[in-house]
Amino acid sequence: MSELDVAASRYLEGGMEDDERCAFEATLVSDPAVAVAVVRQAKLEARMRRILGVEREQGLAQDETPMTAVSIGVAHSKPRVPGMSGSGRQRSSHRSVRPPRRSVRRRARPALSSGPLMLVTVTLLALGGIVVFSALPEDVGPAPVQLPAFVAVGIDGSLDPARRYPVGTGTALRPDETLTLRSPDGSTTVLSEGAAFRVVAAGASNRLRLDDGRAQCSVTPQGREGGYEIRLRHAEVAVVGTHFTVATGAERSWLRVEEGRVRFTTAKENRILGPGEEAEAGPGVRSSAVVADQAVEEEAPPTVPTPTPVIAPRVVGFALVDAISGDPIRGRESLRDGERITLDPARPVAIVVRIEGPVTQVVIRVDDRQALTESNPPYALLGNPRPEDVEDEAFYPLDLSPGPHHFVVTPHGPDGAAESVTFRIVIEQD
Amino acid sequence: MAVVADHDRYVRLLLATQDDLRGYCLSLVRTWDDADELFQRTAMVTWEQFGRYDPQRSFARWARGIARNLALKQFRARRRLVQLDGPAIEALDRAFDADDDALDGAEGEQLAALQRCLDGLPAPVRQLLAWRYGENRPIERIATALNRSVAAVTKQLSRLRGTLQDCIAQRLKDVAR
Repeated sequence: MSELDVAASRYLEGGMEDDERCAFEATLVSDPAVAVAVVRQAKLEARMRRILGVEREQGLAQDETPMTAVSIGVAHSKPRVPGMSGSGRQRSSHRSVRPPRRSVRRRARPALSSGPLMLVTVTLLALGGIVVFSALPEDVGPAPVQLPAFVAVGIDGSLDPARRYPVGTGTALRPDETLTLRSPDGSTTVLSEGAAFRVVAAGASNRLRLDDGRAQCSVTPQGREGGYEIRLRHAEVAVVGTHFTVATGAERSWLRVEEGRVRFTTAKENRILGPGEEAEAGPGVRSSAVVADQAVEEEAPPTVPTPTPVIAPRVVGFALVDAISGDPIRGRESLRDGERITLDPARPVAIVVRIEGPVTQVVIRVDDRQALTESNPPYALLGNPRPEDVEDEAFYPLDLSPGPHHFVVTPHGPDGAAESVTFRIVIEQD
Repeated sequence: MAVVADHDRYVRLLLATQDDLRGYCLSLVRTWDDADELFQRTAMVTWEQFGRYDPQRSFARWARGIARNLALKQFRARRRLVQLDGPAIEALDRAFDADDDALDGAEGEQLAALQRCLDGLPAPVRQLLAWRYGENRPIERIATALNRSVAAVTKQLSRLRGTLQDCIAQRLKDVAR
């Protein structure tokens, strides 16, 4: 990208002070290349807004009756182009209508083919208006309907659209992999290493089947019609807004409630548990306050470790990320203790800590000398620039000297410091 | 029926040039809120005056002329953000005209190339672009959500636009071969 393009994009983003802007506008006249750069950037932004705006509308529509973006102009005789956001004042002078289904072509996915852009228009003469319906390519067919799904949450808290789990799908995590899922109602489920799950329901009610491993759940308060349930091997857990942890394996299924009330159901009993209470079920459970479901599962080695109730935050992993963009580096999402990391000056990296549970702050000590406190996720081992800093990086790069280094990470929760974890790396210079 | 035919022709022309026209509006007023408003007004006026449009001329140039006049008269009268002087606007007009000639109807290819380039981006990066351009979120809000500085997000967006420009150019080159 040329310097001119950079300047043009800053100009269009409003990122120039008045003096700089005036000087830039003067060069528009004197140097045709500057105007060309402005045109290039302005058109790129316009195209991105069209493509990404349409995708957003499709995303918003996924849980609703399909309501296509059809609008009628103020005087019922003016065109209005879809994807146009406009000011609030303008929006209030237009009204959206649901077009008759048969006369409306479903919005096509904007993944354009190399063919010519085909236009689709609908005229609703009966309403006395002119309606522009869609400007998307015709030859890509109707959009696949996006089903409600549990969606993976990235390190930075954003949803990862590439890892959606609609009903009937699921996965088994690697032994060193954890996964945070957000269900359509906003509930969060953190699956521990090696856990296996399948989504049974998503949308109005949300149900996960946990086949193996442990899950820590933070459930959004549910309405009368809603619900969040986890089906374990030997029990079902239904909740109405709470925090709890479950685990399951061949021998037993286990539940501990941190907050709220949870219904724990087996083949023989149905109990409601409150904060601090635990329940177990399964053939491996001999005497317990809970009911054992003897009908389930044949002999199998006990695979469920006795779960430790999790109230305090817990360090669950370390990931290598691009220090500039903050993006995870493929294949290095779960670093091992003692990991060797080769530094490349052209591609600075950082390490972020993944933590489960309620975190108020994280104290990180580097090589027993320097300590820093991180108060907001993502938590990087060397921290990240403050908002007021004019820095180019998402995180401070890992600029340690070659050789071994270690970090002591102590997460703090509402109840104080939790267990510290020591993490070692070896820096190698390229 | 003539009205319907006119409408169809008009809509085709407007949709085919909408990115150009939106970009032009942006270059005049420099914020997307104002650009959207100007674009909408331009769409209304071009429809009202479509009977005067000479099909021998470029629709894009005709529409840009209307947008320019609207911006100068209405926006300036309301002390809005059009601060460019005449020569600067003429320079932009010349650049848009030249870009029209260079594209020569290849708008669809540009859009297709951009779509493919966007599809090739990692999910978090694409999410960033979706927030900024799909949802028109202010950079300050994005920076807060990502726990990053405004300057860092601005720079990353700038770099991404550069990456996309390069990617589009490469894809168009590949198609031309």
